[in-house]
Amino acid sequence: MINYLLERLIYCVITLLIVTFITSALIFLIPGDPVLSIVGENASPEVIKNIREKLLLDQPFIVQYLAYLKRLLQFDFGKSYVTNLNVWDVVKQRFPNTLLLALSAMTFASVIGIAIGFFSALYKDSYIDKISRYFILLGISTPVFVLGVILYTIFTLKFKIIKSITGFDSFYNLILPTIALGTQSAAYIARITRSTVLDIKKQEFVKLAKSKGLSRAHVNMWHIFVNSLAPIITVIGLDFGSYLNGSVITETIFGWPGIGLYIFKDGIGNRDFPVIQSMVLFCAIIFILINFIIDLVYFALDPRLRDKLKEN
Amino acid sequence: MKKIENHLYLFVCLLLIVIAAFNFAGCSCSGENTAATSVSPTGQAVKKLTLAIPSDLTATDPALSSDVTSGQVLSKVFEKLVNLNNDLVIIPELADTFEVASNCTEFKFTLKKGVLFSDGKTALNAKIVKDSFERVASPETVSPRANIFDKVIGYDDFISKKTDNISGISVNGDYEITIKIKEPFSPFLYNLTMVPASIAIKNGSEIIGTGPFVFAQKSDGAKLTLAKNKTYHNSQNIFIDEIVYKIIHDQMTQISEFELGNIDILNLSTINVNRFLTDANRSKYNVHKQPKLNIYYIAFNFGKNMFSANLRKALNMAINKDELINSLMKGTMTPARGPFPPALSAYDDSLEGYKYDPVKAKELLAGEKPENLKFDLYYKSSNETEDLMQMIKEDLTKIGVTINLKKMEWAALKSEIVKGNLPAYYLNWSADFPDAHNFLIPLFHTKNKGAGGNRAFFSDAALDSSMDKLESTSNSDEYKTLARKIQKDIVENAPWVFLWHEVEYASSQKSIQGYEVPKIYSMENFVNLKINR
Repeated sequence: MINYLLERLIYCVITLLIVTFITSALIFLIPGDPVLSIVGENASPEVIKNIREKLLLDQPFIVQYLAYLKRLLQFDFGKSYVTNLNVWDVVKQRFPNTLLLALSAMTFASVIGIAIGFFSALYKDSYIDKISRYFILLGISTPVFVLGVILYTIFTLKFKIIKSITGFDSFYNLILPTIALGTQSAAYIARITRSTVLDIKKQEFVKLAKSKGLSRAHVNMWHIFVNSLAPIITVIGLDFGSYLNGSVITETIFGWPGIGLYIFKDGIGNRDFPVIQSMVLFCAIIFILINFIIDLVYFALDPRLRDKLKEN
Repeated sequence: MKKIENHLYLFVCLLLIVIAAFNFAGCSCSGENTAATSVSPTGQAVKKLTLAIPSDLTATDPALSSDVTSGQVLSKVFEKLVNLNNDLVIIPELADTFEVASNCTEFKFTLKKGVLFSDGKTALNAKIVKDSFERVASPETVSPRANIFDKVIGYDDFISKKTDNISGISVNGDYEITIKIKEPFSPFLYNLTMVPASIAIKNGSEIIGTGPFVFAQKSDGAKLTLAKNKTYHNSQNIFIDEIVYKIIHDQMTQISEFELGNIDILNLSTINVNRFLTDANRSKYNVHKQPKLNIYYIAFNFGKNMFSANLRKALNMAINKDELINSLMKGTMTPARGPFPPALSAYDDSLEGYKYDPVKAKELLAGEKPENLKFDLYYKSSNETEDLMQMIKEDLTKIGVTINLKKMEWAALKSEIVKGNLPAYYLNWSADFPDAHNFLIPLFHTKNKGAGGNRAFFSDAALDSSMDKLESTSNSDEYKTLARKIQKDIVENAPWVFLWHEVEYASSQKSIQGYEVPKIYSMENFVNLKINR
């Protein structure tokens, strides 16, 4: 097990190195000059030169890249060119907001998705199943920006149940972004749950369990549901990973101060290189961590995998 | 048995829902709505003004500010020696009086007495003003507006570290300061009305000022709050206790929040003016409009040598500005005759500019080579420009000119333009200060090609020397006459298609009194603004 973990760790470091190199190379190549974002519309050449020198932007790519790696080794994420704020401080401020929204949306999506998918499969071809399939189709095909606007038009503008669209002072403000962000995921989870449960229902061990005289509830819960969890958890995990990296559209519509807006608006919009580099690295770390956790959950769920590892 | 099973399913479902609800509750904070009226410890209702800004501040230090949003907020926290009044005339702010002497090379300010910084201890004096200006000029600060002081005597020695202060800024006693500049430069005082020229001091790690408000809560990405500065020298005219700036990127969300009453004043982008200001809305809210000091234009890149004088003039005549403004922009713009907007005092009513005349435009194109009548026109991708560019393309097709519309993301477009890589582009320019200088020298002088503001890379020796002469003209009548003549010559050269000037619209709740859209963002400080709720 320790060998396996070490091997994974080495892969992680190599992946992260590749990520830093590709990110740095890409931002070096794309058109756009961070100094022009800093100086505004009417800048003197001396001011531009002074800023360029201070930020090492007059140096060749490899010098800039090595300076960045050196900073990283000292756990320094760098300072934003535009705001002069430490990128890590901004992440510390914004990541909890992103985490809150991601957790909330994932809980919503998992509960709704698994419940709908499970019952839809158990009662295949019934009305429950038909309605569920409509929900899945609608959920998957409604873009977040449409759903977001529909939600706040109904709940905020029309019926005034929630009094403010933006802000995160109260938990009411979390409800609409959660539904907007989680609905598509809920539909995917419902679809994958439905198809997995339908597959497992046909398996021999389910027939055996039933023939042993176990109650229907017991079979459904412990023989069908538990065995269908692995692919569902993969979908939940990957969606969760992408939510943790920010959800620009939801954040834009609901004025949610997460890291998605920070990457796109402040980072890419201003060509703020330290923000882009650090945030891409941060997102890569999140994804690697999530994948790692999913692997561990597989081990916990599937005894066959544990045996395989022991054999090796 | 079946009943028990059904109950079991129901139980599992309920359990999952309870877990979800618990998750929500765990995240909850106050449960109160943001619009709730708050009450101060003394029991009086807090007069809170809530505004929306489209992005977070890039700077809380005025020396580092170069964008409009930061400038709008910082102009409430910091003050300058001089500011502008509603007629765009320079008036004293932290200065009590000021004099311009020696043919516009010497500026003498007498400071107001008894002005305290927001720490409540430090009193304003001439030494602080000098230090504040030197902080902006110092290369260590890396201010994007360090060039405000580049004409002051001793600036070069100071930035090359030969001296530790700018010799041209001299302090005479506690309340008198004199600034001497190398050569006559008429817009120097206007430079001092800009946000980076604010008087600021360091208070620990914070930069503080003397303005009517102070930072109460720094931005958390969703909002930031300013509170009334209790030591403000003109506090009897401040009727707001708190300003909350909500950071809302999406204008539709801003509009919805305004309709819900969660925002007090809403600035409308041109595309939303008519959509929002229907007759019903006009009576529900106050509507404000203000002709802005800006110009929208299509610049031809002179570095590419692709556009002959006749072609440039023909393109000016081929676009039906009135029709575009009436049909697409519904009166939120006024057609441009030259670079000067009507709100500028040097605006020349007698200048005719290029009138819509497709027949004459076609005649002008008679001798042009066919390959010159086809070019790429670049523009910043946004909702507002899409239809507009298509209509411009149709107008130009009518005179036989084919343009390929190319849209680009702003940072990339700006960088390519500054490098001189593109042939023609749709841009706009907003003034930093309300003077003819700001619509001529940055935009058309050879020394400002590229990043300096002259995006057309236009260069004309005779016009350069006229513009140099303008900078050193101190007599206001001569100044105006010369500025108008330069404008006329530039229009004759047609380095741009002069399109239109924006009229800015804003809407405020009925409870807001005394609000006016500022002509320049740096002049707004909410003195005398009232909330009657």
